[in-house]
Amino acid sequence: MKRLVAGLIPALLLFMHGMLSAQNQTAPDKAPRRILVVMEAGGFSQNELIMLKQSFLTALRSIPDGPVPVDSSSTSFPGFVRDRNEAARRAGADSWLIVKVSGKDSPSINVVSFDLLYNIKTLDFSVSRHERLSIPDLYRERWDDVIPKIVKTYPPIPSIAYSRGPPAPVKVTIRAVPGTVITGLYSVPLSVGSDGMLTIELPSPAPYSLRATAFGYIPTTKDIYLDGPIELPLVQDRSSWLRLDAAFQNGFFPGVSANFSIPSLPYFGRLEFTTFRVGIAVNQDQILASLPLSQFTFILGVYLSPEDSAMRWYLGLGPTLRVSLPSGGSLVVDRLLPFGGRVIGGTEFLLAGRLRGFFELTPTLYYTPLPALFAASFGSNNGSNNSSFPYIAIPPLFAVDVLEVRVGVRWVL
Amino acid sequence: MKRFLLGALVLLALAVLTLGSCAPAFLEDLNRAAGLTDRMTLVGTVGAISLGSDSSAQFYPTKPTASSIGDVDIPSGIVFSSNSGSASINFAYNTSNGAQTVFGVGGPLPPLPDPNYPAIEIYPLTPSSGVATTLAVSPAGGAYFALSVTLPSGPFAIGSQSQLFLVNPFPPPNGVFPSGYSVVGAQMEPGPGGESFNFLLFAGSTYYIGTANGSSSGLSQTGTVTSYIPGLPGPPYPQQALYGVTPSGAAYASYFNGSSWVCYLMTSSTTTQLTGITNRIDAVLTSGDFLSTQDGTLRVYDSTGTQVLSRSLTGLQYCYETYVGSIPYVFFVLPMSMQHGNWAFNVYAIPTSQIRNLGG
Repeated sequence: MKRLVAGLIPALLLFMHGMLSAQNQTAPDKAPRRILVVMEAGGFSQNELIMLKQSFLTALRSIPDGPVPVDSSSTSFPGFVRDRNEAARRAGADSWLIVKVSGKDSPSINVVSFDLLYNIKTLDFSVSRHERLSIPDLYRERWDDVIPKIVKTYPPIPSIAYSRGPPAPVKVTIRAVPGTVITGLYSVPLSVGSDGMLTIELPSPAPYSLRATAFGYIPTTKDIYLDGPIELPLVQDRSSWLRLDAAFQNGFFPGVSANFSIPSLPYFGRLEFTTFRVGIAVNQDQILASLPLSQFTFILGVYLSPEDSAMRWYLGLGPTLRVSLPSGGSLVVDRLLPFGGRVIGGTEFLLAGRLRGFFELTPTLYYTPLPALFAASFGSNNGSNNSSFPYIAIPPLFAVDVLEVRVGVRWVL
Repeated sequence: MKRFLLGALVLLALAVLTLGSCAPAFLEDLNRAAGLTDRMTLVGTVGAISLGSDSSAQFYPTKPTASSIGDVDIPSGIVFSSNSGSASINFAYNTSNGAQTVFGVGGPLPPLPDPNYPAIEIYPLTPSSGVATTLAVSPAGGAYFALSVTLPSGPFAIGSQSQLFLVNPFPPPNGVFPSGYSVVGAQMEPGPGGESFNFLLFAGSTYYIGTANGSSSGLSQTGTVTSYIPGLPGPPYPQQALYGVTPSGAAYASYFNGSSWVCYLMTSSTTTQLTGITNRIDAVLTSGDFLSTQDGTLRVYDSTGTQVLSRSLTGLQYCYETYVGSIPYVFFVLPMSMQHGNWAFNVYAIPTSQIRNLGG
């Protein structure tokens, strides 16, 4: 068992590294927003209001790269927007936020916010709760139904955003692969011309997020802060038609596979090879298992997520064939479980450069021409059969292994 | 939410990797023998049965009663397992619910003789109405003895050399045999209507041959000595020989002469050595061919002693030749070693007329 755990740890570290790498992508030249927070509550005592506000500020501060709350000690906030803006500027904030909480038994929370940088009301929504606000637990309130929307509204922005002039249209020239479709700037998609250029006018200063897709290229999303005319070259990487895998299947039995795909289409075909010559198995007399068995699998699959996703999910299915080269024998198709059908569901995630990690569940249905021997192969207590774990028998001729997994790295060529 | 998802994924990966660390279901023995068994008919699987830490096992299936090979389903047999020089004998059969049962029916047997000799020769007869008699003849410690068991649970009896034909229900010879005889060779001769037990005796300085008739319910008739054979070696006579008779009446003896295996064609007046046969003969087939499985190699010789087939048995063991309906079949068994000291046995049959085709 110690060996098993020792073997699991590197794989998990690899797995977790990929997960975390995919998340930590904050640009270093951006600054968090500063937001003046005002809390108003009806039916609460002064102390309860203080507890409510402290819990809100604590929850907001706990968000990495989230807006920095600037506390307003006053509970009486001006009624006019102009006065509120001035109050926010005096407090050193670039936006303000009013949180109104009404009632304790079925509280209603109304949130209104204004962005001084872009001179627009950014938030005005209400949420209702069915649970009573527990006064002793107010300090533990997480505000999960409010905070995420605020964080999404106020992402970090370039420092230059704080020294803007009056909004005015400016010319933006995008250089990209001819035929690239640009979305996110206008209400309709735009196309890059045959000369590889697209010229449009956009209000400036303002933040924008565009998405560029072109056949044969990996889609890309780009966030910009527009502050005057700009020529924007897009870096577009060609889609790969081949991905090579090195993987462990079922207790670290090694294997390789090649994934073929048509660029820009979400479909792929895969040829897998796994050898059971060496591996770790908990259901054997010896934990280090060696079997003269190999497995070939062909998978047709589809990606559910775009190619540029940090985590790309996919599904697939296909036939699998087991072959054996026993000592003293010839290469044969395995006689116990010769073939079957496999379903895969997995995700791949960025590790570094063109290297990705992946994790798949691969439950497989096997056909057996020898059901009695298949049942017997799990041993006997001379009177009652042993468990066929991890197989589930489907009489009379099939069995499914629901716990098959593949974990490995994928090299995108 | 993303952190929760990542945490859940990590836990899922840990759980599935741990639970999924299982070797696949796989039987190497089955694949090793596929080149031969693909040309045979699978007529039964017995097991898995636990034989502890025994290092080897031989399985002798009960003989079939069906009249066509497609109807044969062998559910039971006798298992000889050896460990550290001693052997145990068990009767194993599949129950109706798919489980397996094993009865210890004797032993441990004495240490087996020289491994160059056929360690065990067993002649299971056909079960009838759930009760049958199995006769096993084995050289052990330089002597033959017979085993008789009423299936499926016994009782089991072991007879000594001098009691060979006294084992119930085999009746005593009533003075037919000369006094002081020793059985030096035997083989069951299959026939469409029943089986005969042919034996070779040595008494004084003379070899005698005889036969006893059998039926589907077992050996039931008195043995007879039909003639004596001159020309075979004198004392010390071979103690572990195979003696077989073909349907045409030709009689053969195969034994180890101290330096090599020899085979003789015997008549009432002469013996002729078949010099082409230098390996142990395990059966004289109804086709007139000789079958040898010495050292795990399947060899077939024609009636003149010329080798016509030689290839590895890849783990298969020869069981017996018997008739299914009107067609003689040669039966083999494939013992399959599994984890945790378990064994299972596949029984295969091939028409005797096709035995030579196994080479190509």
